Amino acid sequence: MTTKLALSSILCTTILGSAAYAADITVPSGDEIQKYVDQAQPGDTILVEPGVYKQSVYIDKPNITIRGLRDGDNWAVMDGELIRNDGIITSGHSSTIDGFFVKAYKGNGIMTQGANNFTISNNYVEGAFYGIFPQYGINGLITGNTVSGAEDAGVYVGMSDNVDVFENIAFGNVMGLEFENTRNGLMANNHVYGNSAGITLTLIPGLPVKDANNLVIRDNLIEDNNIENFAPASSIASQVPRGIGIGIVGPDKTTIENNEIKNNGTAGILVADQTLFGMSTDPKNDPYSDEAIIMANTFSGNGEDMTGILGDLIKQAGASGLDVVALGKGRGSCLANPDEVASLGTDRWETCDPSLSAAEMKTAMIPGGAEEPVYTAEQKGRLTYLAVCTGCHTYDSVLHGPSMQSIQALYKDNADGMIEYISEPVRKREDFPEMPPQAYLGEENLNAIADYILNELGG
Amino acid sequence: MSRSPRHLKGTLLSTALTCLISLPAFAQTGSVLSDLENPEFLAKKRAEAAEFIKCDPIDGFDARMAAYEAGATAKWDRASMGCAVQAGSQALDEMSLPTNLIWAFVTFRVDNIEKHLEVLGANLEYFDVLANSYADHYEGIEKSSELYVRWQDTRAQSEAILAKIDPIIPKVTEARILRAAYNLASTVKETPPEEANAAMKSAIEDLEIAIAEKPEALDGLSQLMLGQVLVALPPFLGGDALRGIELLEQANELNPNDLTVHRALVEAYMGEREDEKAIALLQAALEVDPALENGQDYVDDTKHLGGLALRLDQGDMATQFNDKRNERLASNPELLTRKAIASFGHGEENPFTGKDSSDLN
Repeated sequence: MTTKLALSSILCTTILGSAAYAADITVPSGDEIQKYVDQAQPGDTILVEPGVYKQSVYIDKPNITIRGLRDGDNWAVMDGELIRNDGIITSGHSSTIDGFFVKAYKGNGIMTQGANNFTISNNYVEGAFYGIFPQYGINGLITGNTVSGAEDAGVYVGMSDNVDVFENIAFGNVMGLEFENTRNGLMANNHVYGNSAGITLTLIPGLPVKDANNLVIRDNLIEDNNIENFAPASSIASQVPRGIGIGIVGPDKTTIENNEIKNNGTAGILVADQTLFGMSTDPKNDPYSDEAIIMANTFSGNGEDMTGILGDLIKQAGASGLDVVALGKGRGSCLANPDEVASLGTDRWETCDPSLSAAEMKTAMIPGGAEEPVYTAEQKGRLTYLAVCTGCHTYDSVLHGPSMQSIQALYKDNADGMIEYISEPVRKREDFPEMPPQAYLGEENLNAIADYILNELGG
Repeated sequence: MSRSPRHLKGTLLSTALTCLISLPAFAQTGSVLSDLENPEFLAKKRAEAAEFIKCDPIDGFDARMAAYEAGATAKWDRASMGCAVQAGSQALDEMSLPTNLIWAFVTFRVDNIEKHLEVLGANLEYFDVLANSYADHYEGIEKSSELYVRWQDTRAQSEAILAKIDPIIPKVTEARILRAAYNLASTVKETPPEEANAAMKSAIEDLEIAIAEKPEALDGLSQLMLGQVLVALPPFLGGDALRGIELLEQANELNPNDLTVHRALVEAYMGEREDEKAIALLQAALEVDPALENGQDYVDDTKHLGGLALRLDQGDMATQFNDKRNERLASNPELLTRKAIASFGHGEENPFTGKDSSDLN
């Protein structure tokens, strides 16, 4: 109790203190945004004028709002030029990222790392690997964004809790919207069309968060999700079946209600076990999708152009035109009006009781917000390594860049040399692309990353 | 001939069957480099890999068999085991095989049949070792090329042996079972889905015949394989979890010390929510003498069984599995711990605690 009280008083002091000194800081068109972020204090709002910003931005302090100003079609454009990994990253709690046009980043368009109480709103994100990617966050709102061209998910809520995804548009992604290893989420009033798969709810093995549950997908329009899966062959996203409106793979206690689900070529809704994607099992995951509630949705034109292995499976069973396909060993699921829904594999399902409706649920967020713990430099180092470095490097083999093992060998006992290189890289090897500079991460983070790579990361 | 001389465990099958209904496994190799879509680049990398993994030449039957005996169970070292299995396969080239059993007895070559089955079994075990070497999310070009070459080499070696034993399959149930095992194990990776489906159908036919013909053959390996297939397949495609469980129970009766069977049966029980049976079987698994298992199999199986115990809220049991596993790892430091490293943006390591979250401790 003492700890809680102490924490509350710190939070109050922080918030009051921030309010007292809150300021608006304007970034002139084309200037270096990071410079202004570094000067900002908690509570400040950074206003970025319309213009093109060929850079990455990293925010590592709490309660910062960064807003792109827009003049008609003139946005504040973050341009990765297909050479930078990340557009805007924040590890600060109570961050708001609003109003940017983010394009051509190799990794993450907009990302939060371990940041609670985040808001990501009114952005247009085009062509990143992950469009909008809150990771390890508690209590967040993603609203009014348009996401397109992501080689994985347009909006990818990863290992987070209590997140609302409202009124976004997702098209042209491998997956439009995704809750992955996430607890307590609500997706409502989104328009999800023209992706390989519309909405996915997944429990991925091998991640630190071992469960996914209490996810509500309500009042969305999910249509024509039939494009070729264009994820890189090495990525797990490459195994997402094409032509799926909603896919539930692993999570428990999911509610799919009052959505319009139409013209998805393979099936309207897929409910399957974790093993469907050929992933190795995680001993700490429950691989079965239990307690799916599917009620009051409008289906039309689904399952009329089945493709891939899933399509072959359905064809082998002599079926087509399916609204709901259930594979695996899930229990406790139900389907409302089963006679009106074309389904396969739901023989053991019950008929949903109307009392299970989530129609009245307004939000999955926590009233009053989540606590905001202060992370150690070591934790920040790990988070940043996972979010940034692993976009191009793996531990023991070559991705875009050399393996971490070879980097460890090169900079053994020379952390300063490593930081110097990360900040201002030059091409060292002919057969590797030049590394983009990471000076924007700041001295403290660069030190933490170097310490993590050289002293902690191991096989 | 009651059983293959080598104790063929069939861990390969548990791997194979986790993704019976998965998307193409061959898609799991490669890297995000666009070069990977270039056939010439791939061919170049595979040629380099083939050169890199080339085994030292060994001449003569006795030397090859000695190399085979020395390294064919080294599941923790895919390079050494690969060369040992290759040496054994090459040795068989010098060993003739009678085309019928009577002639085998007349010519004193029954041992030759057993040796062929044994080396084929080692090749199948090697598929399992390779399958466990593939990463889930990402593989670099060097490693994916190496695994591809090893996979194809193992296929070629296995098929050469299968071609020799083909005439005796109608008479030797063990040979039929190994053909089924080959069809399942060799299609886990690097195989188009339609080919994998055809291989599975063929395997099911062989296994049904083998169980009817000689249920005790190879300590119930047929029941283990077919049981896993039936548990994994959805009912509308011929799956039958309850019959699958019956078969796995038979396999467990025939081979109560095989932790792979325990794993498969515990998971099957859990799929049917038969938690009490699953817990009882986990308890029995704790009594299995570690010395009866290959070291790598033992640490892999106990890690998995400990995880299943956790899923069943049996924390004490999980700790016991972990203790046994750690004991084995301490006495055999060469064994792989299979600690996953962050890949493609995230991994098992918890960024807040810095600990591998798969650590059962």
